[in-house]
Amino acid sequence: MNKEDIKRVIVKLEPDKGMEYRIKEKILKRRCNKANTRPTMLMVARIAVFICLVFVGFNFVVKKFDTSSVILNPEDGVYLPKIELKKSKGGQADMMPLIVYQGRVYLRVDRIISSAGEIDLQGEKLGITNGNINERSKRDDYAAVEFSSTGGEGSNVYAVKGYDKSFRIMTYDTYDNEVFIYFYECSNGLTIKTGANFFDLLKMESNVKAAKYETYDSFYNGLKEYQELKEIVVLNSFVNELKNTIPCDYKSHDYLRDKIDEIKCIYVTLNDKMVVKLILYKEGYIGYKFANVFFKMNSQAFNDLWDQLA
Amino acid sequence: MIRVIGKGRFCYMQKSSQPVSDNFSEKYSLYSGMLFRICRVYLGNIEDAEEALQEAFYKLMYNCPHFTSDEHEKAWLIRVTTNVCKDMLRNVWRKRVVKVEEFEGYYDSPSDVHIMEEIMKLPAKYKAVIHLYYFEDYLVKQISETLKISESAVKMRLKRGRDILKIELEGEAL
Repeated sequence: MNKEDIKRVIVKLEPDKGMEYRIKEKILKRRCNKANTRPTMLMVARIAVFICLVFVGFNFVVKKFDTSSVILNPEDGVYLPKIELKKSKGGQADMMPLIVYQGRVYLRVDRIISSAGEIDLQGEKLGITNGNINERSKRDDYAAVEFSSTGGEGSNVYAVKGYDKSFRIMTYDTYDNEVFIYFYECSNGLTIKTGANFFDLLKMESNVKAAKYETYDSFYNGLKEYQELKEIVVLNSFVNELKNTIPCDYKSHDYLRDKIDEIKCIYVTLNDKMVVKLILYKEGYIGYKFANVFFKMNSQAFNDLWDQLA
Repeated sequence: MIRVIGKGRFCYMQKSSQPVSDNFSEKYSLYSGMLFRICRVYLGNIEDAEEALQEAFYKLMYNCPHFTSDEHEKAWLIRVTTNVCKDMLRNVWRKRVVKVEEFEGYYDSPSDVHIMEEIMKLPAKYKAVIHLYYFEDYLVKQISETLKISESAVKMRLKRGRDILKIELEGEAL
């Protein structure tokens, strides 16, 4: 490979003709949303000073936080430390899309894009995201505190119907008859003694509609080589056993992630169209997104499901 | 109490009196190709690249500092865009994903598809320097200033990226 090869292939990556229009529309819509919501936010802010409700817009600067789990005494389980927002004093910040609501830090975990009316997950309205840059950041630090705000400000935040809002909330926006839902979850601050402490939050039991899976190679390389899981009975047995899994601290099991031939990713669609993505490790461990904890399943149900994912 | 993150000192709004839509079109025609390529190389699929591009232009329209020159504006945009992409990649669920989908349609030759796939497989932190050096023809010093990293870091990333891609040296003085 040489320089000309690189130029030749990259120059062909052009935005399509409609992209300018789409981006402009979305930016204007976003700006418009913000303008419309600003008076409301000011009023809410004033009221809230008195009622001590905490709501912070997302894309706040998060300095590096410890996302590792802490193992407690065996009988006490595993503690997932709380994420704390800290003042920015320059330097690289570790920024992630997030929402702070009532003192809890929710990290963005997933999104759904669908046609309007197809998804019915909107619960009670909790507020509107506001602002996306730490006001304490210095202008000179701006380059260092850029973040993504792929959702932006002025998005409506809702509880997710059927789920505990202390665990999962969502933003909901529409553009051109398309619905953009971003899910945010807060598992930090949890103490997990058994799988039930965590998996009960996901509402999977007796709620599975379908599932697909892919190999780690497909996942790693974004190949999307999904295969449908046909034996839902086997999956249901597995789901029923999740509550009996044993939490294990993340760091001492990080080696699991290196055994790429022994990892499978399964996407479980629930009846409400929520999709739960689990990573299975051949040794019987289960992982879930930002929850930096592994769950060990000592049950034949794991092996039965694993065999189905061949 | 509600903690409202105010715009405060970051309220560097459009200084131009032009309507945003006009200004947007001008800036879009100037930068969209370059930024889109950065996003595609970083993120892989079109959908994510468009989302990142949208974010970069949103910042340009509403959250940008005062630019002292066109070069300043361009460098700022590159930095913003790479940071947006990096942040999207930080999502734990997708941070190890390098999507190679949809590239086949761009190329007639399987070898070009293969080259693009190899570029896509690069670790994220090498992509920006490789892209700027080999595609945008930036010098090491310019990359250092644009990405706010040291020149030695640029050289190191170039070397490692080049080693991975097995790029042939053609009189390059690094």
